[in-house]
Amino acid sequence: MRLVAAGLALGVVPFLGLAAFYESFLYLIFLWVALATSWNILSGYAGYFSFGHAAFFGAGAYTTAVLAGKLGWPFLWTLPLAAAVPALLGVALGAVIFRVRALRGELFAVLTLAVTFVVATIVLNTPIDGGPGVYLGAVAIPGLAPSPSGTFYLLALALALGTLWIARAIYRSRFGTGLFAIHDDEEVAEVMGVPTYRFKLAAFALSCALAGIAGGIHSVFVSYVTVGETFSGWTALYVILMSALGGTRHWLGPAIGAAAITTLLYVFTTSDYAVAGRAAVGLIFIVVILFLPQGILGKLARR
Amino acid sequence: MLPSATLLGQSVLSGVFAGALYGLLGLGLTLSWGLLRQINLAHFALVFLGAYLTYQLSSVAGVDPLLTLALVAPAFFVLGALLHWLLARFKVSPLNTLLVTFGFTVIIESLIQWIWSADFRRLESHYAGVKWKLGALFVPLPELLTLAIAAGLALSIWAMLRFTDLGRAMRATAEDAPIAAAFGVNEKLLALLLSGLCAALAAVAGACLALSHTLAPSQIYAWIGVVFAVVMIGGLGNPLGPLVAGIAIGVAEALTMAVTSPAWAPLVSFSLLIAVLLIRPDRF
Repeated sequence: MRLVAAGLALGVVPFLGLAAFYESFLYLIFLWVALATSWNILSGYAGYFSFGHAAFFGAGAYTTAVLAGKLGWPFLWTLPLAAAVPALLGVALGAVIFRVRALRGELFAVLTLAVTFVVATIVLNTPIDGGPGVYLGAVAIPGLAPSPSGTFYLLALALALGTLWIARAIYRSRFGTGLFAIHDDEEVAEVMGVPTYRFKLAAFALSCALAGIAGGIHSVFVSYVTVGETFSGWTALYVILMSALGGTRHWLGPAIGAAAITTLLYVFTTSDYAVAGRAAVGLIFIVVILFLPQGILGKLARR
Repeated sequence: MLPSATLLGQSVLSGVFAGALYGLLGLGLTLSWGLLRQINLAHFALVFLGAYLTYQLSSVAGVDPLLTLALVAPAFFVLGALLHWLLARFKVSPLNTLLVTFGFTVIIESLIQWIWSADFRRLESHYAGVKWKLGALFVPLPELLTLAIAAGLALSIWAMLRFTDLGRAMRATAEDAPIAAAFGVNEKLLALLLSGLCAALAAVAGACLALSHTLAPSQIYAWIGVVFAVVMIGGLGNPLGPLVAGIAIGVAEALTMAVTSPAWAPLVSFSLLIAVLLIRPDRF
């Protein structure tokens, strides 16, 4: 109920006639809220820290880029496929990885990072991209709001709220309880009857699909996608930092971290201190892992 | 169409040299990962910091690039010991050491960019121009030095771990810390020494990097993927592993570049890494 109310309240913003700057800034926050929250469904709840979120974000971005930018599909029609392609990729990977018991913790992290590089290399060297990047400047932007930036604002808002709704529904369900049991002790979870393999696979598929939609929307927002930018390792690291800062054991944690980090980076990059902003991100990483292992929400909840 | 024999020969040679640098970069990483269970991403940032210090001391103060190590390596030894002290003090898990040291990497990168700017820097040393001709092939001196240093260090550390009491104590601690402690091994001191050694190795790798490569702060991240692959394929904690795996991957990459397009090269190391993880995850 509260999510719907928040959606309705935030949904009127594009019709207020604000400068496009505010809409674009809020768009970025919603985008990162969706990315961090989607990452958290597998990696936070079940404790399988993925360093490969950029692979699925990028798979979604390139699905939309190829369909809308090269083949001329209407933008919104590409989004279901921008979800389906990364989800299939995730299921195919998960079907192999989750069968190998030892691949958790740092090994799962390294493996998913390697997957990012492999997917990026394949996209770069095949006609999907081929090297020069894909222009999406000619893609028609649906008129959901008075301005294009308003439309992107509404799309990202809908995705962020949808992702939060899914994350909360899982959090409160038997599925979520099972994922948390996997996090705490996978052997015990299995003995208690949690179908760990199927739960991990389902969580991974959902996580990838939502990241893919975010990629699809963002590719048209930036209107020009390149392999270097789209599959950047920073995406995964920012998402991890946001979730860890907000708290990975609560459905709302990553959203809080995403809003905080996006705002911080925005302030630093728009002023002349981009380098200092980077250093601040590094410092937050260290402080959060050493002093705030449960994140902000974990700290508050314990009081 | 197959490239000529000379081109292939030169490719293999450049692959061996690239692999030597992979191995040298991976040496400190494999020791801290395998023996201390710390995945030290900051190793890459230290390598670059070392390279920039070599560049600075050598091009401004006129010190011989390799002699700069007399100053940089001991300083880095202290940094490495401090890093270990911090990670041990907070009992950071292996996965979290990856995240914490990533934080340090970003901070060091910002520091480098602040001092030396984001522009490319190239060290002009008297080593750089020297090239020998071996048949139809060119052998550049900086790369040859890197190979010699990488092989020398890998072999001496292997021998140290295998044949000295200090090395045996280090391996015993990695195997089973409480038992080793019961036999009188001072676990904490050993770990500090080892972590310091890893950072000093980063300084050496940095000097070699400065001799043969153009430096830019963003390049720190370019090495992480392939060196991780080399370290894991070579076997964690095995000092000879990164060099052997590095040369194998370097040659495979160079041949891939010669036969197909250079952009396919990353696929070699990462598919190998994924294969090793899926087939032999118990090794790690």
